[in-house]
Amino acid sequence: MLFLENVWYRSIIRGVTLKIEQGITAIIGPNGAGKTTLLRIIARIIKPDKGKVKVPERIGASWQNPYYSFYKTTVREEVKFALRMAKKSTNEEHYLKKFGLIDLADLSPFRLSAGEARILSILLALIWDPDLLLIDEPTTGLDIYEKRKLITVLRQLNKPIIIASHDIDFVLEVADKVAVMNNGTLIAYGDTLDIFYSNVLETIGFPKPVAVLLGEALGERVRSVEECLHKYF
Amino acid sequence: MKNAYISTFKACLNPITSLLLLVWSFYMISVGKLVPVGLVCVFLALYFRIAKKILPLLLWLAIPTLIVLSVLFGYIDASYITIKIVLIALSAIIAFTSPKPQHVAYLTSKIGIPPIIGFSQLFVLRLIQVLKEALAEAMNAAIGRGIKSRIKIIMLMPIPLLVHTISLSMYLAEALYIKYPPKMRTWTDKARVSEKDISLLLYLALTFILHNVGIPFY
Amino acid sequence: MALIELKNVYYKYPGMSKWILKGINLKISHGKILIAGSTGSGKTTLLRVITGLIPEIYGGELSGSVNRNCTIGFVPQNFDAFILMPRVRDEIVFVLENKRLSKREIECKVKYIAEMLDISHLLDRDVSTLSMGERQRVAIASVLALEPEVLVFDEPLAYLDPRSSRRFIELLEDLNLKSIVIAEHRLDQVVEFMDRVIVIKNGEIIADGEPFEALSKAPPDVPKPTYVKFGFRSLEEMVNYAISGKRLV
Repeated sequence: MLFLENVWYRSIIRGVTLKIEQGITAIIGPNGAGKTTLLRIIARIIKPDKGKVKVPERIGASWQNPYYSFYKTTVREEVKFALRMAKKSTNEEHYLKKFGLIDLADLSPFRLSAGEARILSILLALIWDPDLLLIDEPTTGLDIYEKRKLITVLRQLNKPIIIASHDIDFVLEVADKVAVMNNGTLIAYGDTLDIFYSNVLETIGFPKPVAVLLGEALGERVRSVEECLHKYF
Repeated sequence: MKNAYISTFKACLNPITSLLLLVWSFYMISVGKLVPVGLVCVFLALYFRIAKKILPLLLWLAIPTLIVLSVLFGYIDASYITIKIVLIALSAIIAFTSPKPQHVAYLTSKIGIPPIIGFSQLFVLRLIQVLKEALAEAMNAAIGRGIKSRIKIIMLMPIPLLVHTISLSMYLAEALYIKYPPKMRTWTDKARVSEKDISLLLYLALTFILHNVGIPFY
Repeated sequence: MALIELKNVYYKYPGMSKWILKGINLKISHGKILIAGSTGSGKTTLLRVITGLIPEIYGGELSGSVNRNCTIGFVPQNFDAFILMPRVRDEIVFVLENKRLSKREIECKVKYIAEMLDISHLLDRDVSTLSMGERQRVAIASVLALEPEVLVFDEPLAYLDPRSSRRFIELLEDLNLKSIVIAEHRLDQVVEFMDRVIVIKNGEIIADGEPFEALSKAPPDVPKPTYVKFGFRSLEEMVNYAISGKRLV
């Protein structure tokens, strides 16, 4: 699906080798670790100085500020426009309902909340049927309810997704695999639970998510506090 | 002594010199004496080490203008007009960026204009940075939506940029309110007249006199 | 005497029919204060009233009284557009230029502020080459140059990773100002460092006091740290309870 081999870019990406198959993969790390740059290299927006980049033809992306992807006066118009460009004859209602945006259909996309704008931006990035979806920092500005909605939307999608995020609680809940970056290098890659329940996060200076603290105390590998909720509280 | 002061560009001119330079450039261009203007501006651009930075901007201005005008007026006239336009832009940029902000602010405060106008030079540079990033983001967003045609992308770009600029103006108003409280408005730097100013002014004066006396020169 | 006092403040934005702030009574005199509330609760509007941006920049209808007896600095959520100068040094110097300081004094102050915020190595860099966390520190530096007595932040953790968030909170401790006011909804890391929490919902203050008391009183739709949601005063308490609970099970 995606293969990066010994990719170098200035002093921002240093010798990253990464192979990603299906599922939801998260790239985590501190600000400045190179997460966004790596996504840009995958999207072929940036050309690396060295190394091989083998990525699918069609790549959809929802970048850091979702409001930059909007051009029309209503959400409905926006989806219709995207359908026209993708030369699809499906009714926009289908997509609006699927992504929970039907109640917002007649609002201006610029007036949506951060969470709603993010979901719309993801919908628009998917309408043209790309082979891979990239999302950069999806949880910026989202409150806990919007995050929950986003997790639901992402889980329903049947597409390989790569998410760059520093929101470790969110990543723990939604990702199948996690790649950890620091200072431009990939320091770990594996199953989410393996990564979070090891000391990798400590090495990059991240505190452990609340769910992990609980999980370790209880001797179970949980992904969220809600998982322990029923059993122990 | 190490310079603690603002200077995006290392060398600088007295603001009055810059103003005279601008006036002289426009005058010379209007009477068709393009070569002295070209010489002075290119020399100053290199001297102030901004040539590399403004070259892309000038090309971006020159090439479409040249193409459009060629269609309307033919290559020769179009080239002539384009060169004039580029020289106007170049001299304006140099006049705008050659004085130190504090010096301009000192002068403007003397005639009752808020000193912040003096800092507009750097402020504009920052705005250009912000807009450049916004444009890059908007283009990445379009590509991420699967819009492949370059023309479509160019046509759509103004929309998110316009929306962004509107919110940007609010943020800027906030920033100016917070950082430039009305109570504090005093100034500390009076501009001096250096050898650079004198030599430049002499050249400007000389070319002006020669032109008006009718002696041909380049 | 309170540094900042709001009495019965009502506010609506120009052209809107809905009141965004309703009957706000608030006194700020010292300490680190957190304003908690979900998006749309009026947090940002309240900060704008506190700092004077409302009504100066935003206009609208403001009734009630707002008294300020101190200098206030504000770092907005969108600190990128807040930075006005292309280079880091220029940004800090710009603010200092407005005071009657000698060249040497300005040089000293720039050094001092840069060291405090750990941006000394960034002074000659272009702002556009900095990461979000670094830009935020530059924005804070430019406001600190004004020497405010009270510093107000709007969602400072929005763009910060967990490591930078921790550093930011440590920075607040070091700043030693008369008072610091933060509006946030990412509360897990922040609450334990705060002296007081004000909970705002639908434009009204529904709780104001000691962090745990104020947050546990608030309804479930108000953002709270995870441990408070389950009735614990701290993360440690919750983890210990879980361990002991498991032993019983």
